[in-house]
Amino acid sequence: MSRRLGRDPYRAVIQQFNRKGVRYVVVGMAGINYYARNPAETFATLDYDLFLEPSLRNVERAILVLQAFGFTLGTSAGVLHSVDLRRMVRHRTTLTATTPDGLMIELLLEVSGYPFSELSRDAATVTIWGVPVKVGRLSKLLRSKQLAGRPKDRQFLRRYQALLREEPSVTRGTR
Amino acid sequence: MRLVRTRIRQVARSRGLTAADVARRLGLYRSNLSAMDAGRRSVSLRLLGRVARLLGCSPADLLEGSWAPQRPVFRHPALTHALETRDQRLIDGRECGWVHTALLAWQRHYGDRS
Repeated sequence: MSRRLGRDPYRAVIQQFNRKGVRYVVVGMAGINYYARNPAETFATLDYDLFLEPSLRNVERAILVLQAFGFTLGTSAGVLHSVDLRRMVRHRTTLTATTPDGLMIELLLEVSGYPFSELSRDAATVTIWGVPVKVGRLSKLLRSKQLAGRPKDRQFLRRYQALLREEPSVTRGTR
Repeated sequence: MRLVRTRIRQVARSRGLTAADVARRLGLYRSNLSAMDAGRRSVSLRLLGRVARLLGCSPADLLEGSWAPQRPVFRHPALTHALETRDQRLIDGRECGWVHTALLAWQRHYGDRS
């Protein structure tokens, strides 16, 4: 029987990850958004990036949770029919999990610049309607984007720089 | 010949263990772990794998220089300061439910358009 995702699939998945002991850190734009002070400072993103500890047992636990929720699992090559976990962990393959209405969670087994232990070490723990969520440190998430160096990352960093320039401390300092 | 430096003590500390704990559990001398961290003693992949299993990380995580150095993201000191302030402002336990509300609203908006 599949579990119910409710109105917030991300919260539901994280809650189960916490219960099942899946080791993860929220990264990417989704992670950066937790540092926003108000909705106007959030950035649109079409997926929710979770960095999983790249161990066989951990990835297996995560996949079991997502399958119980009825997510469609895939990779960049398309829908995943059989899961060769050992191969995926060895090659650090990124998995995608999609809900029937198109919301997507990306399960990353590596990110630019940091091993899992380094991002997890000082991760912040926020709560989403009572559910604890581990989020990577803002400076590391931005640095990771900088190291990834894709055009969209560079563009995002320019936008983030503009956002920081609006901070009162910066405005005062540059006057 | 230059030897690889490890960061076994640092990773162990992040998991609440000391170098002595790691050495005892793996049947090693603590001084050997220190020498590996300092790059004065070679470390085999097999041993690195044993330490990684004990600490619940990948062997690559135990190698010095395998992660990004803490260089500032932005060149301007005022921006670095603003970034650090923002980073520290997110304290453990803060309720951020509204972030998901905003995120899901963005996604519905763009999902409906595509």
